[in-house]
Amino acid sequence: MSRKQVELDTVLVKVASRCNIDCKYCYVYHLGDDSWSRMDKLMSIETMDAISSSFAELVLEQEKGFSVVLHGGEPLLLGYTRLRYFLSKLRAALPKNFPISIQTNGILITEKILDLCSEFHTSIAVSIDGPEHVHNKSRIDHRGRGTFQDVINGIDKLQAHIDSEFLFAGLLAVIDPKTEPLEIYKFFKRLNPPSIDFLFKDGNHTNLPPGKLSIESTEYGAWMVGLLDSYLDDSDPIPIRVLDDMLKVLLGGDVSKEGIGITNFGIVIIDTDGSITKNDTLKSAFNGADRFANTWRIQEHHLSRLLRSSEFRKYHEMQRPTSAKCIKCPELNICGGGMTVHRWRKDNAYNNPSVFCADQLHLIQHMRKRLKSFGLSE
Amino acid sequence: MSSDFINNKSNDDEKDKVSPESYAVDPSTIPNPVLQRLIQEVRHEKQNKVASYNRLHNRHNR
Repeated sequence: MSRKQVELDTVLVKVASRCNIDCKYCYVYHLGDDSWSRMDKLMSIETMDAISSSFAELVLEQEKGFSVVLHGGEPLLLGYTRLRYFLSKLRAALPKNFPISIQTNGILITEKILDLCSEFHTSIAVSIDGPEHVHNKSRIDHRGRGTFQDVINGIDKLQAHIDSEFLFAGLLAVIDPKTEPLEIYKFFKRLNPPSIDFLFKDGNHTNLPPGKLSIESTEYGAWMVGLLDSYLDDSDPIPIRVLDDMLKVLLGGDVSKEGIGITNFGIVIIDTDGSITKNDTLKSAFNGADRFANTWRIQEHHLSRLLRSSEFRKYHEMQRPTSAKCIKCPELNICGGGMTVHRWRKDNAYNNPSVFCADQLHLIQHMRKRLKSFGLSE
Repeated sequence: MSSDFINNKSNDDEKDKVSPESYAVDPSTIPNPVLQRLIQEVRHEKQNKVASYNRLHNRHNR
């Protein structure tokens, strides 16, 4: 790998440390990390100012652009006034072709919020897991009630907005392998989003992901095969990012998604108090797994100083798998060894294949078969 | 990004792989809308190394 300074492509900014709902599988609140409980509930104006200044400097220093994602908790808990302040500062720091987006559960979307996002060229992606009986199994509020209808109301507002073509970035779903992929695909098609992405439920070798019986079992892989068939058999398909990325690698292209392919991404998280951390999905391995050894704060440290540090380089290189099985695997360039967090095991940390290795191999084998049927193989 | 690493690894992956030149196929000859679009995207990305950082939708931490 080149030894030049790593460049960022994504900065995730956690503007709210709390959430208005309580999804059962959430890696922030339910998989062992408790750092959220010591955080300010909302990002302060001072921290927003420090972030904006740091981004303005990074724009001048990096050759490549980067995306900014407002995240949480639930980012729209920030409220209109603070969100307006932050978006105006961010957009002043970042040229218009630097994407700013919000990943939200959709419940707090209002006309006013949409107008604001339109004004500052900020897109919105909404998390929803499928039809009501699927979504409400996990995505519940703090009283245990399903949130499906509230999310649909938010998506309706988003789609009705005059600038929806720009604003609506897509939908994000977490897979329940016990569901029927064709039913889920048809549901999302009816919602008519510009695209969908699917995530596996988080887990690792010590704590298996929900719905996965063993390391060797392929519940998630079988589900993805069903999704792939629904997708490829549709005469008018909506883009599915996770499948597109894997298929594109098989077709000779590159990926846009961490945890697939062997492209390294430069991702950092800025937490609600301004602390800078590794990819926060690492939280689901063990308490504090997303923290650097040194304390980095956006109020005190310039991002480029972090990017030049040895501990950032070490974190960046964690994306590449180290296990012997991955190194010699002929499919490594397709799956990339999966997400770092999914390789974790208590006794040997990340030196393992993904806990989803069997699932990914099952899916890749089926992808090759489908591509071959179209004459797209050697 | 990391093109050195990608090039080194790709030489090792010889097993029943789809041709890395698939993007050179005329997409209109492939009777599938998903694959047609993806081949076009791959061709476009090979020709224009622009905005490769730009995750166009569903930006999140994965």
